[in-house]
Amino acid sequence: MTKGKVILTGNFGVGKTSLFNRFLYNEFGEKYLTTIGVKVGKKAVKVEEVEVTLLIWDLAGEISQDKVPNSYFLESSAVIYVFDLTRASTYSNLEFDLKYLREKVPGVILKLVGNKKDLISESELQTISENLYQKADLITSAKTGENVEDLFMDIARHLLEGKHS
Amino acid sequence: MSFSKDSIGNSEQLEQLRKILLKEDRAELLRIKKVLEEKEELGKHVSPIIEDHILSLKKNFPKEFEAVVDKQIENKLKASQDELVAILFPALGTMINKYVAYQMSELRESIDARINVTKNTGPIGWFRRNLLGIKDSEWILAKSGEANIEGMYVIEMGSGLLLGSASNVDTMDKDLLAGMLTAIQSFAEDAFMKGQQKVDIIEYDKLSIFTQSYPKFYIAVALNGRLTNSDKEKLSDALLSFVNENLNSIVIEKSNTIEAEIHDAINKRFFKNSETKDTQLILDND
Repeated sequence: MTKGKVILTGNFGVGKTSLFNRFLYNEFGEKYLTTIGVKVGKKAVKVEEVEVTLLIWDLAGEISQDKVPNSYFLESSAVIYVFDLTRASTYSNLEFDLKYLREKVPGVILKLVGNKKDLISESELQTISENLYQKADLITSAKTGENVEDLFMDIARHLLEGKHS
Repeated sequence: MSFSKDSIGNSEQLEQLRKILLKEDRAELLRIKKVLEEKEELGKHVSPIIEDHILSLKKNFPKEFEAVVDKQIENKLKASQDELVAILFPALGTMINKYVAYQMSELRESIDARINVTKNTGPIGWFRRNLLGIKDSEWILAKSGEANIEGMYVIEMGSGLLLGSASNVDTMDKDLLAGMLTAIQSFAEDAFMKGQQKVDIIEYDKLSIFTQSYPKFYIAVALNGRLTNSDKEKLSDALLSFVNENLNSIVIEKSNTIEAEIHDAINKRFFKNSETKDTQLILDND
């Protein structure tokens, strides 16, 4: 069986826990919930009839990634950096945070995800995308579930193939 | 009805007379009326009196009302005995449990300190114990308080991924348990800036989780009961020998069947009878 540790990280209130809940339990909490410390969840998915178990660590939001305890990243297979499309402050520090993560966990799958798509229009999304330091790998909505399954399935597929981007 | 001129004249005179005689009284009445009707004015006069009363009540409350309050509380307690028992019972039960577990571990520590030998059972053991002044009741109590292994988990260092496990009781998802334990380890490591030092025991109520770290993985042992220092040493030695003799080769090889291999190895080494799910730990040479 293939197993992988997947880290969900990013700023406060960007929707990490909502993505976590949406993927693990297929639900979306309407109430805002600030994550405290770390919450570990598990989901087994099937990729071409092979079971892949994802252990997902939902980390407490931090303004900057260098504030996250180093040991949480140890031996992780993938890191999902989530930002909030409706709050520029959550993606204004992308360059520093992504460089920091690449140094901290070299070689792991690193996904940049813009969340809360349901709260912005297509034209707003286009403007934000054009101004990002790096193109987002996926634009998601934990509320509607858009692209959430795809995000984790993509990571599971990479784990199975042993490909690290 | 009609009035004569004389009678009208009399009543006017009477009113005039009233005005003259009652002038001061009427003025006083108006003043009092104003005081009573205007909140601010009334407050000026009444507030100091109320404040004095409140102060006096505060000062003398215990003296004046102690008996009444005591009686009320007593009545309330008598009437709500069942509710009180329901509220206090779980808390008291937990406290007593903890106290008994602690006393057991103290007793076992004390016996361990007196007889630091391995052979303490059978006729020879009985003779030894008697020679050292250990009562049979103490011995039985100490033995009954021994910690039992409920599960053993081999967890990859850092990632917290479960490599393999064996457990005698139904627990939460084992992968999650391994992940959460690793998160706690990571948190403690970072919070106390201890680098490679790990948390070696987590105690909750009567449950203990003993962990022992090795370069590539760590082992978490879930026990029902508290470990004495001597238990920890024994368990630590047993784990080290298990790692050297069985586990290292399985982890290094890391085959597709690693989980099953570790499960079998733990059962074979640590549980007397994995088929019947015997929870007794084989550590002693007893």
